Amino acid sequence: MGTTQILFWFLTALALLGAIMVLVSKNPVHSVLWLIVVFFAISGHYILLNAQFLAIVNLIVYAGAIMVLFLFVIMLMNLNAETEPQKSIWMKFFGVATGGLLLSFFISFIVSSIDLKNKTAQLKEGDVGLIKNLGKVLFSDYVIPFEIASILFLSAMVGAVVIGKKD
Amino acid sequence: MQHVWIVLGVLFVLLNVAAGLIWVERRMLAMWQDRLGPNRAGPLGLLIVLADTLKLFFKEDWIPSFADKKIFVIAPAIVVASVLMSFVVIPFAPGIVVADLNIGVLFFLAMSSLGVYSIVLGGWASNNKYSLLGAMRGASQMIAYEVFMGLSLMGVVMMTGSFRLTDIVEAQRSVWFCFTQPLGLILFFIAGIAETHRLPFDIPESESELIAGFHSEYSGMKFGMFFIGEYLGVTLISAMTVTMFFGGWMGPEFLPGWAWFFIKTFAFILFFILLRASLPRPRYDQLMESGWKVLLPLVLVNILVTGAVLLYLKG
Amino acid sequence: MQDADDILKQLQQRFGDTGLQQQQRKDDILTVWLPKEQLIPVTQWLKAAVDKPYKLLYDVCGIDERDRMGNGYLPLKDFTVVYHLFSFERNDFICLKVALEGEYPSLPSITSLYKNANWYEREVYDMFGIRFEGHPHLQRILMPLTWPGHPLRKEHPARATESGPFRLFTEYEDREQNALEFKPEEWGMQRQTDDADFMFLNIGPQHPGTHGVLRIVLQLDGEDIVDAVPEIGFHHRGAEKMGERQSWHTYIPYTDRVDYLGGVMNNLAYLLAVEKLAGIEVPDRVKVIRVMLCELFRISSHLVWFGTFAQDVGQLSPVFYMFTDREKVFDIIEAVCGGRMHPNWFRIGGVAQDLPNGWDGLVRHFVNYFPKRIREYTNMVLRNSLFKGRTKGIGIYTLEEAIEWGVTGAGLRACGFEWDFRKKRPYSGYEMFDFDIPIAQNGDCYDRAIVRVEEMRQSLRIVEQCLNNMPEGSYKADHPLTTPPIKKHTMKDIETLITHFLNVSWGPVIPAGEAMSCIEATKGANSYYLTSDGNTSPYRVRIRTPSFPHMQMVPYISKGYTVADLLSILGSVDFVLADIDR
Repeated sequence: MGTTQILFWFLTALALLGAIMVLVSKNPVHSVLWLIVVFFAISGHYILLNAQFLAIVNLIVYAGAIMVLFLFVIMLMNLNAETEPQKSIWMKFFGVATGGLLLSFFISFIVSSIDLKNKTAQLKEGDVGLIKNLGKVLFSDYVIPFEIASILFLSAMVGAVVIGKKD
Repeated sequence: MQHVWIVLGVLFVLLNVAAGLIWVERRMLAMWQDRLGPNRAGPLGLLIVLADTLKLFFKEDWIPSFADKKIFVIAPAIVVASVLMSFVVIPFAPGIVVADLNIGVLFFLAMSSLGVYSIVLGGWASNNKYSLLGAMRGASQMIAYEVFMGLSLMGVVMMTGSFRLTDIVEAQRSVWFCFTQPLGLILFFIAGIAETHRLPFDIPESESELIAGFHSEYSGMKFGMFFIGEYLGVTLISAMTVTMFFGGWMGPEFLPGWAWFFIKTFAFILFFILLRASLPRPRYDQLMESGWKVLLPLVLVNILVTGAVLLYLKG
Repeated sequence: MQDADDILKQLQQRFGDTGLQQQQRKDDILTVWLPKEQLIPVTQWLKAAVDKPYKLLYDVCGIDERDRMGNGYLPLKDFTVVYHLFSFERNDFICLKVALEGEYPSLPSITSLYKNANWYEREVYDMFGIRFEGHPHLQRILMPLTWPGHPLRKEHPARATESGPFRLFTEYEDREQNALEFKPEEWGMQRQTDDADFMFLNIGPQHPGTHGVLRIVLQLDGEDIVDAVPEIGFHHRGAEKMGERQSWHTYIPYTDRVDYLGGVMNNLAYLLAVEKLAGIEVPDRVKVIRVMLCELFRISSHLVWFGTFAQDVGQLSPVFYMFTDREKVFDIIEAVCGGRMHPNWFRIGGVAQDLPNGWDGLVRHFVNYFPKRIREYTNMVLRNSLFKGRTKGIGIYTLEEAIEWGVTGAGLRACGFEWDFRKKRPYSGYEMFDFDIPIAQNGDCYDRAIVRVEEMRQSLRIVEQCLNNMPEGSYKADHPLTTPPIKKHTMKDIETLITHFLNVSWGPVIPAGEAMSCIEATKGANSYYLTSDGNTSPYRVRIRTPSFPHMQMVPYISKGYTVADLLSILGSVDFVLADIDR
């Protein structure tokens, strides 16, 4: 096992642990912190894939901005463990059932797909994730989806402003 | 092996600079305010640095019983860690850089954006109303100013065609970017002040309203971390300004590159202190308003104009 | 006086002359005794119906009359509540007195007529146990809620030694602890509305922005102030009670500490009232010396305000420059008086010593030096756009509101009303001086600031005139009650020697009567309303301070602004906690 593989397994374990802790934590602020750990682990994976731009943008956007807003909202809502409504036993049962179904669906899908081996991402190789290449691809092959996405963001922004203006 | 020496050297210099700023800031403020400042401990009062550090170490390190203990302890470490991480990409002189990443600028932005966590979490975990108000202000201020901090650097990046900081410094061999990107420089510096939450933008702390804002409950070395983090932040923004706009290590031959870098950085640190001595603090909503309604459009205009000019020159 | 006789006649015509009785005072203020049923109709009529109405409720105080000697012709009963109203159009006071009978009497509240009556009535209740029917929130204001007794009643001990040794019993401790618990409802605030939970924030008693021990409980919706309730009294030292046990002479140092930034200006307010009672006319030299020192203190007080105000909005440096200049003022004060903040230098009928040799050099140096500095500070602070952004349009009140709430001083002038007691009701020779009344139009924090800065310039003008025209003459009045009399005369005749001995050992005996002074102090109108029953100490000392009504108004002008604005407002109001609590 080389350094890269050790790193890969470490980051994987970290991501999974973080994800589980997000769900398990009683305190929403702790959940948010664990989610940030998950983002860091995933950014590590991106770097292993030589997609530095994605890695760093993941950090800037998700860890640096969106999660801060999450924290902000949670602090404003003043959520406590005591005020959290207790879910009924039926709710819990259905939650576990649907989640389990989804998980088994994914597993069966992955196991059954034949081409899996050939599509495994290459560690430390490939240069799709570098800024230059990514930019070129985005503005040539995928320019229409890219622009549509930006229009989507614009409309979301306008919507937010309209809602915020109301009072 | 050389690499390890660079890492250790950079760390050593940075921590000493940050500690030394305790003395520099207090003496400079005193000079501008017709006072003497610390002048008792050692020659010129220089040992105040040592005295202050010792004091912080020996103070009771109190964790309030009502605080969220784990987060309360982690929060001050985040600011120091994130700022120190940012220094990884800064080239102090040719060859003296810890990691010359090809995404250097983005790395700097990512790390400095993480600094906000220490304010938000520190303020929240203290479980104190003043701290909470400070944390809220800090969060919204830093998110707003992060946005155009990144954008204000894009003009330079467009002109260089690289995110790598050594490339950016090299590109200034003929003319510094402070002449070609003056608007970017001003906006970056304003955003930098807001990021380091120094007066006039020390709204998360705003001593006369919120006692000490987000770090009201901190004492001892945990407070010291915020303290050092602030000085490291000031050094970082100064160093970035020099790297991006003032030619980094470039300068006449009679001094080595690192000396030029140091001198330029120090000038900006002094400018930070001068700002603190002279300006009052805007109100929180005024700060946000100027951020979103004035500075952000200006930054976009700067990018647009830079792009247009570059295209025109190319073809 | 014509006006006063007129209003008395009208009052008697309207309300019948059975209950109304006029009282002669030493200070020519029309004083009318009313039965308590007549209080509301009479004040209502005086405030609204009469032409040139009495818009300003200047002061309300109580007097415990049970130990009073003499004065058999007055309709005295056990207690008296005294109302001083002021009419700007008439430029005249009227004093209404209501005699009350019984151990804990009550009378109707006039809070519905005058907004600032609220705190005044609470103070009277706190100090005397007199209840006001119809008062919205009759609670102690200066004393702790758990305080036994009412301090200004004559049976309440004036010294700690009179009340026996203090023991902290458990139940007493528990009571005190319970009283500390914060219940918003008791402060007249609600915890939440349908769509918002409010946050309560204690500003103070220890807070860098309150300039002393003041507590303001804020009801916040986010950072917006929904309501603010000041709690005062942390600085209450019982200055009024002390007056009743000090001799007329030995009370002077206590007055220094009321508005501790005003220094000798407090002495002046007290002595003007004493001198009216004693019938002392002071020589011109005394008047001019007093005016000069008062104006120097006005400058020093405004410098403190200016520096701390700049610091409140986050400007760190001005406060250092301004305190340096204040030291320059104190250099003069020190050379003249020997003291700095509390010189205790004026005396009944004069001042303590003549001016020292070389005083004119010091003052001239300052007069030449200071204008340049004011210009620099104006550029540094007032013309700074961030400073303007923090203060313009913040904490606005109109002229009507200002008068309704009893605002005087720079706060009133910032609403565009040219009113200065130095000009309109000159005292201590202010009519001899040439100076302007600075005003501003908007009544916001910024305007209050520019009015005060301009006042410093005007004060400097007055100081310069004092310097150039200092009259020759004695520094003490030639009057038997002047305390202490000039020593050298005592060696010539036995009469002066005896007076000197008595005045120094017992203190002077001031003839029975009542008088009120009214001066334009650093913060606004300051008054001492003294009652003498012909004794060596005052029967009752009432100190009307400007900061008290100003602080009462703060919640009204800070609602809807943010926490940061509250600090601008507090800074611009310019209060001194000792001046509020006395």
